[in-house]
Amino acid sequence: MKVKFLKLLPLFVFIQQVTFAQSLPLQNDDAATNGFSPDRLKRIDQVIKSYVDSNWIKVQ
Amino acid sequence: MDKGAVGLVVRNGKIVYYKSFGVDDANKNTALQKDAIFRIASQTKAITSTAVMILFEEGKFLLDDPISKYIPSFAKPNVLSTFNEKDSSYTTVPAKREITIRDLLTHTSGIDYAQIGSPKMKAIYAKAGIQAGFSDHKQLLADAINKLGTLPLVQNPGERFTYSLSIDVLGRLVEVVSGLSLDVFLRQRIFKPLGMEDTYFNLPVNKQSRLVQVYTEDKETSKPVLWKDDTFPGSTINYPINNNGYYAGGAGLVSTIKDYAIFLQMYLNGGEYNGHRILSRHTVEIVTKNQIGEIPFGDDKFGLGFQITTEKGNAKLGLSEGSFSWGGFFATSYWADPKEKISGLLFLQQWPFKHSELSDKFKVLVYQALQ
Repeated sequence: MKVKFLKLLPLFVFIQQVTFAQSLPLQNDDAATNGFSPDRLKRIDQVIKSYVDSNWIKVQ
Repeated sequence: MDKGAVGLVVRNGKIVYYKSFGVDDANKNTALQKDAIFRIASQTKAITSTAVMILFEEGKFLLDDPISKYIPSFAKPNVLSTFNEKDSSYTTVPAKREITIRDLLTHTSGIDYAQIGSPKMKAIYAKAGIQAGFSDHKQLLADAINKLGTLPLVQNPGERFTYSLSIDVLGRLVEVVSGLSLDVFLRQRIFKPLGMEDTYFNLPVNKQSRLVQVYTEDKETSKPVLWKDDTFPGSTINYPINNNGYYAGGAGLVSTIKDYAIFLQMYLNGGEYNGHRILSRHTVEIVTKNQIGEIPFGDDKFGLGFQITTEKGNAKLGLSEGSFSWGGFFATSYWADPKEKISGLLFLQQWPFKHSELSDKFKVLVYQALQ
C-alpha cells in the first residue's frame, strides 16, 4: 500500500500544480509552453511599433 | 515618434508577452517603461463594480434594491422632458420607477455622462458642477453624488444602455455601506490582497515620475501634442497628482498594465489570486454573464461592469463567447477570455483614440498566434 502511494505521489503533485498554477502570482513563462507560436507572436511587435512610429494620433 | 504603448498577454496565469514600445515623453525622448503608470480612466469601473460585489456577498444589499435606500437624494427620480439650450433650464416628468443597484452596474439607470455624454445632459451636469472624474478642484464624492441624485435622468431606468456616471454613484454606495472612503476600501479589500502595488486615486510623490504623459491631437495639423488642460473645462490631466480628494469610481484610478492583469487574473481564476479570495466563483459567474437581457449593446451584451462577448461578437475578432472586456478614455484597453484562459492588455495614453483600430488588431494578433 505504502509503495503504491509513493508511486502515485508524483501524479498527485502534478495534478496539484496544474490545479493551483493559475492562483499563483503572475510570472513570466515561455510562450510556446503556453500554446503560442513565438514567431507569430512577434507580429504584435510589428503592428504596435508601426503605430507608435507613425506621427499621428488616429490611425491613418 | 511621439507615442508609446505597453502590451501584455497572459495565458494559464503566466505572462507570455510583455513589451513596451516608443516614448513616454517625446520632448525628453525618454523610452516608455513596462512599469509605467497610466490613467486607466473607465477601467476603474470594473474595480469599483467588484467592490460593490464584495459588499453584495456580505449581504449588505441586494442588487435590485433602490439606490435611494442608501443615497436618499435619488428617491423619486424624474426624467428630462424639455430642455432650453439658451440657459440649460429644463422640465421633467416622474420616472416610471426607482433606480436599482443593478441598473447602475449595467448603465441602464438613466443617468448620463458629464463631459462626454449627450449635449443636453452635459449642459445640465456642467451647470450643476458635476464632472466625469478628472477634477481640477477639491470636491467630495458625497457632495457631487448627492447633487447628481437631484438632477433629471435622460431616460427611464431599465429602458436602455447609456454609458454613464452610474459607477461613480456606486463608488459612493461603497462608501456609505462600508463606512470607508472608496480609496481606503479598494486598497484594503482589492489592491492590497492582490498585490496591486501601483494602483491609486492619488499617486504618491515617489511614483509620480512614472506617470505617463498624455498626448492629444493638434486641431490644425492633426499631429500629436501634449495634452492641454482646456480640452474639457473644469478638468485637468494632473488629477492623479493634485490630491483633490475626489474618488471617482468610474474614472479616477491610475495603474500599471501588470497590476490590471493581476485584477483580470483574479476573475479568470474564479475570484481568487495568489491565495486571496476576493469574490466567490458564483459571483464571478453573475458578473460575467449578460445582465441587460434584450437591451441592445452592439454585437455584445453587458454584465456587471464588463462588456460580454456574444456569439455574434465572437464572429468579429475571435474572442471566445463569454469573454469580458472594456477600456479607458485615454486609450487603455483589455479583455479576458475564460475559455482560452487568456487576458490581453494594451495601454497607450492619448485622446482621441478609436478603440476599434489598434486594440482590435492586437486582439487578432494574439489569437492568430495560438497553436
